[in-house]
Amino acid sequence: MPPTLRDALRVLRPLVGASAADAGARAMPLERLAMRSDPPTVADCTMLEPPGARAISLQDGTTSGVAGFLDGVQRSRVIAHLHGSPIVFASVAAAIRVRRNRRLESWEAPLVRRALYGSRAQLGESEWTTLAAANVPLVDITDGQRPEDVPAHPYALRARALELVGAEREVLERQLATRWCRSESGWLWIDGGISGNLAIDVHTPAFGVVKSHTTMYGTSSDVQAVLALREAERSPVFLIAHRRRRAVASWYLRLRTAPSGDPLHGLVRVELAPPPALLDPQDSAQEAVAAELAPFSARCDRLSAWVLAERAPLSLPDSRWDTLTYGVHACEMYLDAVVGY
Amino acid sequence: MMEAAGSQDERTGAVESPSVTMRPIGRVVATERKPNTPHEFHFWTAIDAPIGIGTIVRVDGPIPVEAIIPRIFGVVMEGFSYSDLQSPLHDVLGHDGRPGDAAFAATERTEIRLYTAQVLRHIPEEPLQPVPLGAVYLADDADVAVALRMDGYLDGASRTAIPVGVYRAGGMRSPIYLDADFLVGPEAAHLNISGVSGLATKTSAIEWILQSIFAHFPAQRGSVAAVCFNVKGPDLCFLDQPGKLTDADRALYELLEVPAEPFQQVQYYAPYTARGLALNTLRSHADLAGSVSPLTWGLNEVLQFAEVLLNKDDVDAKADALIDFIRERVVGKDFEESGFARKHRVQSFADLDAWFREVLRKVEDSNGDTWRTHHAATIRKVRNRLSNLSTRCAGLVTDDGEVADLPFGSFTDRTVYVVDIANVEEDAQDLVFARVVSKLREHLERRELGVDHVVVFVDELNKYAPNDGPDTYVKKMLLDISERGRYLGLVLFGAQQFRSQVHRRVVGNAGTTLYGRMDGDELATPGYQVLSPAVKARLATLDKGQLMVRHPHFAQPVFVRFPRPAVMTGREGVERFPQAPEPSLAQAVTRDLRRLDGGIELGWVQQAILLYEEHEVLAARNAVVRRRPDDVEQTFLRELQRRARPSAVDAEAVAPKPRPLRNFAPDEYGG
Repeated sequence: MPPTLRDALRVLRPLVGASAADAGARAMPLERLAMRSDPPTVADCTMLEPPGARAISLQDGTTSGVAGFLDGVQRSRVIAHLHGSPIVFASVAAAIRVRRNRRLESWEAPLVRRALYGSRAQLGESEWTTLAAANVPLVDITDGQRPEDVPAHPYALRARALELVGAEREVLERQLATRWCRSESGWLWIDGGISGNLAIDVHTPAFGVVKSHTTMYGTSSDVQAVLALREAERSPVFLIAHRRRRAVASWYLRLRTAPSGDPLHGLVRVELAPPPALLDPQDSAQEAVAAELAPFSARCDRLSAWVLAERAPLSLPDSRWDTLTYGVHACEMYLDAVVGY
Repeated sequence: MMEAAGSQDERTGAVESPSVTMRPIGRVVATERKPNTPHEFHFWTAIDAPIGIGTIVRVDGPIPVEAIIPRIFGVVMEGFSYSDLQSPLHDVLGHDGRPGDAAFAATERTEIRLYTAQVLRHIPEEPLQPVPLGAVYLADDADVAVALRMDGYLDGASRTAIPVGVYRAGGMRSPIYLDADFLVGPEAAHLNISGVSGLATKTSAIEWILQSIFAHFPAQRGSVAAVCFNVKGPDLCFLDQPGKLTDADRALYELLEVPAEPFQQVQYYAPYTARGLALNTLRSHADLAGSVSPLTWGLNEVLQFAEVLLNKDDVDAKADALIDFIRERVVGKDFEESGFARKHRVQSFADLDAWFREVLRKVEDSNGDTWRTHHAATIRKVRNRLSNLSTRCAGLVTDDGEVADLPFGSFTDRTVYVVDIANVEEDAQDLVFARVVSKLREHLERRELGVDHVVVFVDELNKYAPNDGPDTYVKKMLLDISERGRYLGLVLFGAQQFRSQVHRRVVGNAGTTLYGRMDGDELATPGYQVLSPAVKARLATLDKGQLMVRHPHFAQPVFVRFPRPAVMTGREGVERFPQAPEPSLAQAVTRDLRRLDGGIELGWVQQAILLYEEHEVLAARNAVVRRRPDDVEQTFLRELQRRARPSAVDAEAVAPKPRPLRNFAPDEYGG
């Protein structure tokens, strides 16, 4: 069993005192605090399809081919300060909920990890040794940094801890996605992008759905066209190349029209591993690109139809209900129950 | 760096395929808002768990208390289901207001089944703690026995278990037993059943339980018989005839170890019709001829229960005094008085009327207003009321004083005595009920009934012991049985449609209470406040053959299913054995005499009775039937001739004594 918050507080009590430890148990989760806000940007991309919105055909009875939903959660809170440096207790977890007979069940066991995050340099060797001796995993958030680079501001340390916690969550999500792709043939809906997962390629049944649009892709006119998408329309497919040869194909899809006119309401971006010929369309032969693009476009249409078929039931009362599919919502609820708040 | 939680085996519960009772079907949950207590707990289950209102479950506590793993047994009393929806509107929005589209949703919403159970028993009983957060299992047969505390009377030489039905859950069938000591006495006694007519199967339930008692009543507790008053329809008229049973019914009989056959010993009693030619019963078909015995009482029997028939307006203190005088000094005794034309021995209503005539004549002769302190008006009133009884209870009460009664003193074990009074007037029903029960009580007090326990079944209890209305003799008697009958072995099985309309002390003293399908209005009355809404809903929708049982050993009510009684229903009976038309006088006499002598011919009877009045013929018949002589023909003829001779009473009636001149007072003319 991974250590619990109570285990962590028990470890800290001799160091910070009972009352301070008890106060730490009631601390607000860091995820609820506005820690970071990336500036909205528009990034370049490589268009694979001609411009123009594409209406997705939704015939009566269109059923989703999605077999499972993957999501991860993280919960972290500063449970104590020692020498002015925060000590963060974090829980991360990831799970896949697989659909059987229209009901969602767990696919394999959820991955859950819990640890204390702190700066060894700031806490001091004696305290670090005391913490390390306890049966609670310990992560040095300033490991590898030169002493002069270690931030002194507790918020900076807190932000660093949160960054590492997020990375740990992504690791768990990738592990689960990799296991799925190795053993299952049904399609996996991954909450978020897939570009970081090396196990996902054109042959694996997994795609990502991105709900936030801090970064939008294309030229100004492309973005205008995306914002003008109507319900059940998708944008042309484009390539996002974070790293060469590891680009992912992506397109925007409008799930529902905003009654208030919010251009991002009900807008998601789907990510899918493209066939090799499309990874570098400028360098590939025109015939090869054309031969690969047509079936890939059809695949994107089919996935779009599946995504649209997942609009019901709504994930209300979640505030992201316009883009949060119920399968992922249920996955989050499950993980909340596993991890706790 | 971090530790992973939960292995695959732990998550899936990789265990061998256990039976439904060995596999957890739920888990106890508790929150600050909805905590568990020592008497109530909450648990959730899978959507498809075989759990419903009335299901008995077992909770295994995870932490030993005083080195014992606590086990808690409970019965589900309330259920909740909800999803993660915050508002129904969200679902409407999710399907764009088109209900048909909901079926196409790829995923169904997460749904919870949350149940509330009332605790039946804690093991160990002390210390009494709130129910722990443990795994919940369906109770198996052994669990059910422990949960309902049946283990105390199920096993061993002192077994006193009486099967009442089968509890079903998750494909299991567990027999449920009542404790004979608490059903028939002496610890507690009496049974009451409520439910709407036609659907609650109240009569069937009583018949089944009587069969069960007869099959399982322990020998060490003595003998038992039943007296059933058939107050409506033909329900109890065919208890000795086999009924239609399904395979499922037979399986229940086998499981509960009760023979699937009709009652082996049934005796029927019914009064005559008003005309007196035939017994007033629906069991009059020729194939069943001779199976019903007449029930007729004379003046002496009726006068003991005059209070039943005479209401308060009739019987004031003065009238009551006169009736007491008649009962103690006149009836059955030689009564002689100066001024009377003859000595009276009052044994019948006819004798009593003659006596009254003599008394009133003497009052008139004396030119006074009183006779032995009784005012003439009171005498006339009592005469009027008492003489009227034989008319109001015609067929039951005979003018000639002949008595045909239940075999008080020679009741036999495992016998049902059916008193069919369905077709007689309400007053007569009250009289029969009052007298029979009183006689049962008298004999049981003296231990002379013939059996140690007798179950009295009364339908329409709300009529005999209503919650409101005057305190009638019958009502007082029922209260007495309810409160003291168990010490005597006199057990009341009552049935009624509306329990709330029966006197509280009558239903409150019933140790065992059964509920069939209930009426919604009735369930809304205060007496059902202790039941949860879910239990009420189930009571309002119970199928035929289902009952909710409350018994002193059961901490909470239990739902059971019982088989159809193995006897012919009233409806089947009247189809199979239609009621015979009322015979002519000659046919009636022939039929009755043939039971004593098969050679009696209709033509001979017609000739024999040709010159006699109908009441003379019937009186002669009754005398022969009662005496059961060897030579039926000759005895019948002698009885006819005897009755044809005018008696002193008859002579008086036709030739009244001349009224003597009044004595003059000496000073009447101023002399």
